[in-house]
Amino acid sequence: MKTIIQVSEVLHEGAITGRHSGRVIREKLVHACHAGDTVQVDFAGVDVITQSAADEFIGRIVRQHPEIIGRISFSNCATDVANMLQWAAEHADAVSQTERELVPA
Amino acid sequence: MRYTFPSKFTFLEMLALARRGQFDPLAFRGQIELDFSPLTFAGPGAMACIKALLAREQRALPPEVCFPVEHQCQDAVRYLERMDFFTSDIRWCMTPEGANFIRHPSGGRFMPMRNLHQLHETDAASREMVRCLTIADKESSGTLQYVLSELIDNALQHSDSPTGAYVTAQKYEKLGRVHLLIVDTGIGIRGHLQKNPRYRHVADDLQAIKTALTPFVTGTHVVPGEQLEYDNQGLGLSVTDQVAKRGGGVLYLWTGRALYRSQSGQVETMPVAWPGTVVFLSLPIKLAINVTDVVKEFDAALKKPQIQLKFNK
Repeated sequence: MKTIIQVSEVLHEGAITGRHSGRVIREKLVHACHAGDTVQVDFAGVDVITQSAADEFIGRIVRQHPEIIGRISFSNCATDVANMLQWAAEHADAVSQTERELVPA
Repeated sequence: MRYTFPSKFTFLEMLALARRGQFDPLAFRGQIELDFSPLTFAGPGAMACIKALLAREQRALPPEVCFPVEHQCQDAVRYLERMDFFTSDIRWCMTPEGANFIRHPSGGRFMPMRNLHQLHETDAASREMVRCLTIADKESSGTLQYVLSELIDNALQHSDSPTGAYVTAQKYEKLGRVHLLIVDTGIGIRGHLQKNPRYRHVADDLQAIKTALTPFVTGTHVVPGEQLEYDNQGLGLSVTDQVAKRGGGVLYLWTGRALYRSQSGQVETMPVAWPGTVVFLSLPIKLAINVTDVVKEFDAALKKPQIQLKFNK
């Protein structure tokens, strides 16, 4: 079964700019995936997502629920929103990598 | 203690006084009397700092804050009333004149001081701030909202401030600038970094600011297997610093005895300490910066995993 999450209906705004907002979408998505669904996240009407919100949303999924990444797709993403989501996914491990490689224990 | 305001009290004036040891945040203790009589011009950022100090002291030992209102400073005090300086979270002991302010509408130029405590307030507060400033250009207002939300999230998530964070903003149309201020009276940047065992070696506030401006550095320490309510990437300050530098703005960070100014990139030692963190940002009203591009540059030293999200056309 396919679930569609309309981000604008969850947050009622065109910008996702705080960690809390990223968390709200993530929890909804993880819940749907754990119910066995594939999930399409529809970003129609969203112009901006901050790095923090993107990390709290997709970065955390990469860190904590990597098994569900393949069941998620994104639609109607503005270019900047898609770029930020992709960047957050690729850099989900950046903090621990920085701590491992760049800072003495 | 009695604090007599100078005739002009802006954030930069407050810093200048602090550098000369004539303004000491830690002196705001016990019974506090504010003397506004010399005041003719007050900046919202500086007054939000005073408000944060009063709230901090109020929580420790409830004082009454008194202010004799003289005729010549009525305009400045009316302005403070419009900025929501005299709200009920402080126990004011006002003179009769002080209780009879005429409130003017705030729309169009500034965002009255707001006291925030919870992370879920960030979105609404940053939106309201940008809306209050009435910035028509969508790219500029988007960048402002971005930076504000990162800074507010930082203060609420990391400061452990018992009185939350105070935020305010003002647009100076003739100068073509926007001033934003986020202040807390929490543990400061060094206190936050030291929560992470990796950064326990950060010995002083100067080193703490330099460390915190490094991308992917955060005091939030995630123990394997542990689930935090929120963690973070340690990019909020780095992004803000870059937005200020590239956009023709200035970022000031005052935490403990250290002060950072983005224009020079230098951190200086202050003779007096701020108990927590103050972030002051002066930006042009028109900001032609794509924050996504700024963020994408923070990855030169990292090995990226091969993850390709599925975007439907």
